[in-house]
Amino acid sequence: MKLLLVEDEPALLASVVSYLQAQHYICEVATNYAQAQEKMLLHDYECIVLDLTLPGGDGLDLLRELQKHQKAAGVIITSARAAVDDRITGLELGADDYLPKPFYLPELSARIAALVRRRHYQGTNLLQAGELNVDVPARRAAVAGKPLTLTRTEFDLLLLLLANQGRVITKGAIAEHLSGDAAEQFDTFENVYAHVKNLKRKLTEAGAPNYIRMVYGLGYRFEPN
Amino acid sequence: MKLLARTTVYFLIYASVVAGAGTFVYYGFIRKIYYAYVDRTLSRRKLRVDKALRLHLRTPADLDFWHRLDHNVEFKALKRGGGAPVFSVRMMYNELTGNVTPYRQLAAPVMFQGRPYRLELRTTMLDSQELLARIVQAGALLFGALLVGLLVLQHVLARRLWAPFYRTLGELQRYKIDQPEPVHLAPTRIPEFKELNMALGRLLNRNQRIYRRQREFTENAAHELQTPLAILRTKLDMLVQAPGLTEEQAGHIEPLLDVTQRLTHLSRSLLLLAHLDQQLFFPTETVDLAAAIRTQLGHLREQLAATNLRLETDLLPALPLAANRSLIDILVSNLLSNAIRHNVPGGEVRVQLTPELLVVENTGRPRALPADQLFVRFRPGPERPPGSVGLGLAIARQICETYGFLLSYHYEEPGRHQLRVRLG
Repeated sequence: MKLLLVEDEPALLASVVSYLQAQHYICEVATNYAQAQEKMLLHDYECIVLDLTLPGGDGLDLLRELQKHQKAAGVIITSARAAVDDRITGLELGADDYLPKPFYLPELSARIAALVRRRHYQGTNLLQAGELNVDVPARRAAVAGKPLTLTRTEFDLLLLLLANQGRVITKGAIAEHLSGDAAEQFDTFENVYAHVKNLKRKLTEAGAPNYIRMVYGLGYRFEPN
Repeated sequence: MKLLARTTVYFLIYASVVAGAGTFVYYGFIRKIYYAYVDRTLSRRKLRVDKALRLHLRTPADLDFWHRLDHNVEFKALKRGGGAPVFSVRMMYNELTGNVTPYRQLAAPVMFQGRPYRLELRTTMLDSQELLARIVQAGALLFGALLVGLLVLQHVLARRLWAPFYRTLGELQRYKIDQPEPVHLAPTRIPEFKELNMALGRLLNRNQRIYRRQREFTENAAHELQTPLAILRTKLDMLVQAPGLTEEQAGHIEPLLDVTQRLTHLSRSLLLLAHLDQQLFFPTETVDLAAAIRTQLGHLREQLAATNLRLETDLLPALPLAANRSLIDILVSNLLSNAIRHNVPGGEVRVQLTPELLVVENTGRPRALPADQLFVRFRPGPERPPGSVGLGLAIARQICETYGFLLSYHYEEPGRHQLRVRLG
């Protein structure tokens, strides 16, 4: 699956590329407006991760260009400009998602996964990991055919874990994924502990092996194998 | 009392004093001139009488005859001569009017055929007194007319002259430092007001400029922080993936994750405040406040449990508002987090929602907090718990202002702290 990452900050770009490549995505990069323009018009991508402030131009103009050429790529805007109208303009111009900087890599990965799923498997969208089967549009999960009753939060948490299999997801990333950026962050991650604990309990009760491991005090890792 | 009324009153007091005293002085002055004139006439007549005594009169019977012809000339025989002429006013019967009227009289000693006489020359002051009264009356009338005219003139002029002042005042009353357009003070030809307007305009626009620059600075600073924070975050995300990560290393990474989290929260809060200050456009939708409260309480359930707090809610089933969903979520979340943060172990959080009022109450220290400092940005002090960036209530208040809500703090004994949002 081919992605185009448009980002002018090399250090940030390097982490994103390295994380997403480990998720088995093929990543191409563009670090300025002209490069991005050329690549996105020449090639087809599953998803374009687009920074709005670029040397040589505004990311929103790239969106307009994409729209004009009727390119079918999904677009996730990542921007340091958190202004509300940027978000609205971006979404109006055909972007599929908006992820303000600074973001967590697992979050970006989950958003890309969700976008790709939405675009490819409309209606039937099944995820499989180990004995776990997840029907994303129906918001249903089952272990070896045995259905799980998950709360909305637990299901969201499961999706985040599934999109980042084998990777460590920090508690902060989970907290932000669950409560959005509106919630005030506490230094304690009671929420995260509680929801992970519940999800783990439900999985093991349904007969799944212990998929979710805590990695020291840092976060969790989902390993289906 | 208004400035115009005050000047008018002072002017009235001054004018009545001048008019009162002035009438007396004026009357006295006219009277003095008139007496001097009458006395001069009498003195001239006396010279004529002296000449007649010398040239035309022969016997004392002539003197009587003269008196009979002219009542205002009278001779009285004296035993001794000498003495000085004396002017006086006396009352006498006037045959023409049949009244007793005042007369001005000159009494002077004269010699006639070697014998001393007292000559009395009189002139009636009937007409002249009336004249005097009329003169004073006319003067008073003139004075009155002048007074009334001046008052009216002053009123009209003041209205007109001070009009630019009142326009400027109105402009100042409407002035808000965060208004987007520059102040426009109406032009005037009066130099003082022109200078006033110029000085004010400079001051206000300068303030606005400084305010805007500071706001932009905050916004830019927060913006500039996002990219380094993004690098920090993603590098940490990569770091925790490292194979063979030891527990010791993890122990070093964890605080880094925490501070990055805090920095992110801080910069986002600053950015949000800057946007709220700028009254940036936040799209309005129909938001159910009751549902927003329930959602946020759900997010905070674990925090409540962890701190052993009892939650008591009394919420309307639904309360739709026209507002921005994220802002309402932030407002509710901040108020609730605040109530949890500043609570005491085993305490209570009470949330009440009526159509007019949202009340978030928490148990806490048994003394009232300084209400004026509560909403200050980065409020320092012992009340601030670790991990709080100190912007939560400032943001809450700014959001309330955006939607015309009124956020206030109330303290009730013993140790119950209330934050009230008056809706609408």
